[in-house]
Amino acid sequence: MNFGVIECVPTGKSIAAPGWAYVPDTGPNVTALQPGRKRARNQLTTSSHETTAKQDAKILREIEELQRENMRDAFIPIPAKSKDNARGTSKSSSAVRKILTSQKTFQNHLEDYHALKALAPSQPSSSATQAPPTPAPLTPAPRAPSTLHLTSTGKRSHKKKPNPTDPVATSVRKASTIVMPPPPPPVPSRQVILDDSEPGPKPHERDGEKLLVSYIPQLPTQEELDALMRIPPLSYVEAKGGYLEGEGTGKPVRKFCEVCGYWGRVKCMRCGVRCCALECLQVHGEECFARYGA
Amino acid sequence: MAPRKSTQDLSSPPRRTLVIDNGGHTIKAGFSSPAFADPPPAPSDDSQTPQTALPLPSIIPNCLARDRDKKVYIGSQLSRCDDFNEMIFRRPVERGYLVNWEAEKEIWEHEFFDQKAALKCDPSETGLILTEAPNALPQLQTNCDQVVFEEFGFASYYRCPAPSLNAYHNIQSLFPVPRAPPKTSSPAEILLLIDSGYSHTTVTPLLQGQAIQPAVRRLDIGGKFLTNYLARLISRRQYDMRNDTYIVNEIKEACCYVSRDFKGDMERTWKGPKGDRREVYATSEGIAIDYVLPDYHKRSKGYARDHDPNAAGKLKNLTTGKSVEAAEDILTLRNERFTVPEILFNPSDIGMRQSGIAQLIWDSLSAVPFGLWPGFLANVVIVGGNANVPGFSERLDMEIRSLAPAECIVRVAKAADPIVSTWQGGAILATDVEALKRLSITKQEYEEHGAAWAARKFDGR
Repeated sequence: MNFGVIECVPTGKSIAAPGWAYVPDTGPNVTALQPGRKRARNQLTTSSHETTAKQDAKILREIEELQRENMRDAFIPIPAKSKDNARGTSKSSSAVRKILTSQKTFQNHLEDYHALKALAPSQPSSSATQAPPTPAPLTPAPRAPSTLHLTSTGKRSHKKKPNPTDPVATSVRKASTIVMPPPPPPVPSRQVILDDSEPGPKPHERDGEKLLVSYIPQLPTQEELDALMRIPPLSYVEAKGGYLEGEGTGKPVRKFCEVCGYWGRVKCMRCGVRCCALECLQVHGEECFARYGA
Repeated sequence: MAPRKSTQDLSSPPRRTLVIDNGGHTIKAGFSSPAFADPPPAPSDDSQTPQTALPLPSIIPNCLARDRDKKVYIGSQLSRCDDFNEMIFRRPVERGYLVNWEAEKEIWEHEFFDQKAALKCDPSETGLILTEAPNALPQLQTNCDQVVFEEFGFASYYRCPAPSLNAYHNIQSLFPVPRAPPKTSSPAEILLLIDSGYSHTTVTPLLQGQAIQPAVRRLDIGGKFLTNYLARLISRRQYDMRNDTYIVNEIKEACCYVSRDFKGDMERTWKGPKGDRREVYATSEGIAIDYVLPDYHKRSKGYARDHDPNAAGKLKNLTTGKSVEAAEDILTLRNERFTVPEILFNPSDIGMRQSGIAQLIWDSLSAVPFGLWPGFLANVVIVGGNANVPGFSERLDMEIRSLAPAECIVRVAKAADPIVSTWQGGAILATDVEALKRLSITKQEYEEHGAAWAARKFDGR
C-alpha cells in the first residue's frame, strides 16, 4: 500500500522539490512504479513521455555515470617525494592554504553557491535579457554588515554573496556591486574595446558587403550593444542549454536497441527496454530474467 | 623565495608571458613575448611571428595518473608510461572548472616551477594568461586569483573565458571564401565560437573578442562523456573496458566519425533478421572496422584497420597451432563508430533532456539582437578536441543551415588546429603589449585593491 504517497523520482516533468510529494492516488496509475507487470505495457502513456518513472531513474543514473572520471572509486594522493622541491609551502597565507587543502568537489561548490544565493531571495532570477545597464556608480548599495542586501537594480543574483564566517569569501565580491572608493584606473579602459566599434554597423561592413547584401536586418545601436555587453554572466545552471520536447522540434525521440544499437522497434514486456527484433530480445531476455526474476 | 621585482613592474609589463589554457584533459602551455627578435633563452621554439606560422604550445596531460603497479605519474610524466591498462586518473579540473588546487598546484609546479621543468619560469618575472570555462562559479574564480597571486606570485595576470581568446586569430582566413585578408583589428569583430572540449560543449557569441554573456550556452556533453559512452557500448557488446578509459579514448579518436546520413549508415550496419543475414553486414560498406587492442608487450599502441570478415575463421585456425597473430585482440566496431558522436547532435538518443548543438546555437542566438544574426551565422568557428572527429563541422554546417533563416549566409569552419587554437589566440594577444596590459592586472594592483576588485575587473565591469 502506498497511502497516496509516492516517491518522486526526478523526471523532467516532476516538481522541483526533491524527495516526497503528495499526489492524488488515481488507482491504476501506480502500476507505473511496478513495471514488472504486463499491465504496464498496456497502460495509457502520454505521447511525449512514454517512459516510466523507474526507467527515467535508470536513464538519469546512467547519464550520471557517463560523467564520471573513473568507473571505480579511486583516489590518488599527491606523491610525497615531491614535497622536497615544493617552493616554500610555508609562505602560503591561511586563505591560500585553505584553498589548497580543500577537497570540495564541483558539486559541493555548486551547492554552496545555490545555498548562498537562496539567502538573498529578493531577486528575479531569470531576467537575463532585460537587465538594464546600470553603471556601477549609480547604485549606492550600503556597504553594511547585512551583506544580504547587496543587490542593485540591474544586477542579477548570480553573484556570490559573501558569507561573513568564511574568510575566503568575505574578501571576494563584497564590493562587486558597490561603489569602490578608489576608482581603479584600468576599469574604464575596458570600455575602449567597445568604443572601437563606435559606428554600430561597423562589424558588418568589415565582414564584406557581398555576404550581407541580400538581407540586412536592423542593426542594434551602439547603446544597445553596450547594454548587451554589460549584462553579467549567467550562472552555471542558467547557462545550461534547454530541451525542446519531441514535438517542438517535429522529430520524435529516437529509440535504439539496447543489444545491438539498431532502431529499437519492440519493447521488452517485463522491463520496457527497447530491442530491434526477436533475436536481440532473446539475448536481452536472458539477463532480464536475472534482473527481475521470472 | 625570489626577490620581488621592485616598482619597475608597475610601469613596464613583464618581459614574457606564460599562456596557459588549462583544459580538463590537457594543459596547453607555452611562452609568448612581444619581442621576437629577442627570444627568451629557455624554450625558444615557440617564438615565431604570428604572421608566418603560429607558435605551438606544449600539451601536458592535466592529471595525476596511477597505473596497475601503483606508480603515479604527474602531468607530462605520463608519456613515460608504457602500460595504460586499468589506468586511474585524478583531474583537478572537474566539469571544465578548476576545482582541486591541491592537484593542480602539484602539476603546475612539476611543469613550470621545477628545476628540471621544460617550461621553467620565475613567476615574479612572468605574466600569466589563464583560461577558464565560461559561467564559472565566483568562488572558484576567486580561489584561482588568490592562488595565482598569493601562492605563485605572478607579476601580472589575465584570467579570461577560453572562447574569447580565439577571437585573436585571423578568423577570416579559416573560411573557404578567401577575401583579401583585412587583418586590421586583432580581436575579430564578430564570431560565434563553439568550443567542444573534454568536459562540455559551449557556444559563445563574441563581439570584439568579448563574450555576450547572456547568450553563452552549454551542453553537458564533451569528449569524456563520449569516451565513457563508447566504453559502455563496447562493454555491453564485446569486452568489458569500463576501467580502460584511456584505451577507449584512443579507440574513439581512431574510429569515430559523425555521420552525414544517420539512417543510411544504420541500415548498412544492421545484421538483418534472424536467419536472413544481410550481405552488406559483412563489411557494412566500409563502416565495419577492426581495432587491434594494444597488449603492452609487443604492441604499445592500438590501431584501426579495415574489417576482415574472415578473421574469425582464421583465428580458429591459428589458435589450433600457429603463431603470433592469434594473440591479437580485436574489437569490431560498426554502428558504435557513428552513434557515439551522434549524441552531441541528439542527446535525447540516450534519454538526456538537453537539445543538440544546433539547437544550442539557436538558443544562444535568440538571446542576441536580431541584427547581429547574419554576422554570427556567417562566422561560426569550432574549436576543441571534438572538432577533430571527422565530419563534425560538415554535419554542424548542415544542421545550422536547416535552422537558420534562408536569407542568412551560414559559414562554419573548423579552427586550423582545434585543440591549441585557444592557446594560440592567447599567444597572439600576448604579443600586443598594450592590449594585454589593458586587460591584465599586476600583482601590485591586486595587493592594493584586493580580490574583489580583481574579480570585478575580469568580469569586465
